[in-house]
Amino acid sequence: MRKPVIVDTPYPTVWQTAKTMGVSRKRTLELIKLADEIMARREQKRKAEQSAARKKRLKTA
Amino acid sequence: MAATRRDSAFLNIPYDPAYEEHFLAYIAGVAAFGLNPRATLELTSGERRLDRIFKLISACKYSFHDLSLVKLDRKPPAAPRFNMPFELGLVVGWQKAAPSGHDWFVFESSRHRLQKSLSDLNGTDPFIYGPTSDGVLREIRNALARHDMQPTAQQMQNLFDALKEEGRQSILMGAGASSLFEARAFADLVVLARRLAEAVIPGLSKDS
Repeated sequence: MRKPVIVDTPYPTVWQTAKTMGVSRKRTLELIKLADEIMARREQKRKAEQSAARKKRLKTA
Repeated sequence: MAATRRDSAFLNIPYDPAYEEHFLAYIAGVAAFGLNPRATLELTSGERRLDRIFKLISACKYSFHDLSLVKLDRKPPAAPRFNMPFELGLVVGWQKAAPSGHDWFVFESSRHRLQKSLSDLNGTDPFIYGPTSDGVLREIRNALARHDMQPTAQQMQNLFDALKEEGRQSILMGAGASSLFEARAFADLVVLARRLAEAVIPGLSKDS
């Protein structure tokens, strides 16, 4: 098995990545908003699932 | 070394609808390590395509070469896909002739296939991924490491799931694309993956 290659470059910001990829400022703002919405929805879903699991545990106890 | 080169990773992978999940896994995996995925999908018309491909590869510090779909196309005329091994050959030749610290990785879906399809690479350890998207993420973790912030398997999986389950459709709609294998959709995916990486890997820059 080959040894992993060490990545030592700093993490690029969204804006640096957008510049590299030629994505406009307007579209970058839309994508940032989209990512934040996706994460918020996923967090909400995770919390709802946790709550449902807790209720189920209490019922069976 | 220019900053954009140090943080860029060239993805030499098949552009095939059946391969879309793996494509998303490569983008998520590479983004989790703080690298910007680059691909020939970005290339527009202009100079000779081969020159543009080489320019893009040489603008990257890393490259990932997935040879799993080097087989006969189902659509007539039946012909093997040579682009992936050809681009791998470009990188190997470039690094033999003028080493520049470029790190390249060969990915295959099944063990021993590479020995048959490309025996010239005997002695090179391919990363065998499965063939599953989880396997792609796992092998990227085997290929790369970071001292400052090593992304965990769970974080990479979360990033991949967010891209696959929600990001994919939104990107297609927003970019007005019919496939993720289009220039605009790919650029959007890379930017989205960067932002999602910041969200799922605590401690990453949030200065945007």
